[in-house]
Amino acid sequence: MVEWMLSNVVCHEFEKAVGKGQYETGKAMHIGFHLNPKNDDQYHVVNMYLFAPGNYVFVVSQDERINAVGDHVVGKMQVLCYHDSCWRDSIQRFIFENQGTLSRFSAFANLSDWYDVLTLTEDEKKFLRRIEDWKHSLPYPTGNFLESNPFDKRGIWAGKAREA
Amino acid sequence: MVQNMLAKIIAQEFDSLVGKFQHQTGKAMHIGFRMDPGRDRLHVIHMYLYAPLNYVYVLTQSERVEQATGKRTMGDMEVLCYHDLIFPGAVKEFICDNNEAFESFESFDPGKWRDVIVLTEEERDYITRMDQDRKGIRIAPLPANPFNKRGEQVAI
Repeated sequence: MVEWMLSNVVCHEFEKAVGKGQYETGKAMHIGFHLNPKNDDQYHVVNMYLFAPGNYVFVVSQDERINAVGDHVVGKMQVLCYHDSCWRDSIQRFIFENQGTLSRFSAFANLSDWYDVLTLTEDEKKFLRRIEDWKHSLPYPTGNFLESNPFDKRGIWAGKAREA
Repeated sequence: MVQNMLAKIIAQEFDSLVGKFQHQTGKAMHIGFRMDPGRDRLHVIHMYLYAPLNYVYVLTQSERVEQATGKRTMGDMEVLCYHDLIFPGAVKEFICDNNEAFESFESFDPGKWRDVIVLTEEERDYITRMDQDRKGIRIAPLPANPFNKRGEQVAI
């Protein structure tokens, strides 16, 4: 159960390096999961962000790809979880679901690190709150949350490749 | 390769929490891998990472507790690697080889997935003597393994 062990380490590191109750500081954790690229893409990373403004922890993910012609393609933000305890399960589920294609880590700041501790901007904090509220609005929405995403500016290749 | 990712974290954790040139401090890292016990009550493989100088020892020792009698048996210490660069590869190989049997972590401190420990003089000496023995330089018979006492910290 290496997958379980890996998710255990991720959760432990989040609690140690970032922790809950970070509304004021905006402190969050980023882990870039490199996946084997599909459809002739050159690179594929899932950027996972963990942020706990209060007791609940956001686990959100965003796809980032460099496609076959070198364009930088950023996907929509997905909320995997916002809960006080189940957030651990969502990380475990993510690792299990992608175990066949996960290849390595990528951090923003330092290539040799496996995660970053970030400070989220006010826009980013508000965006997470809005996407969570949208998910629970009635009638329950389908499709993607379409507001512009301030996290698009982050990313492994943000600013380094031609925008799609 | 999830195995590769876990090995990278272990190697990086070693670099940041313990580091090389620890011959004076005796600082080392321990990771207890709880394994499928089979017919036993408990099976843990203890991994120790210790770099007295620039080279890093990756050592493992198996610990089993019998189901019926509760008898604890410590296995022989094995040197997986003693090298400056390829020690993460030895960790990865260990994880890949035991992939199917892993259950969880079993650290000495239950709240953590790894421990930073300070090796005793006796333990440091044992590692050196064991390595000499491995290379065929036998000065004296190898004493009893002092790491056997560490296994007793694992709860059954």
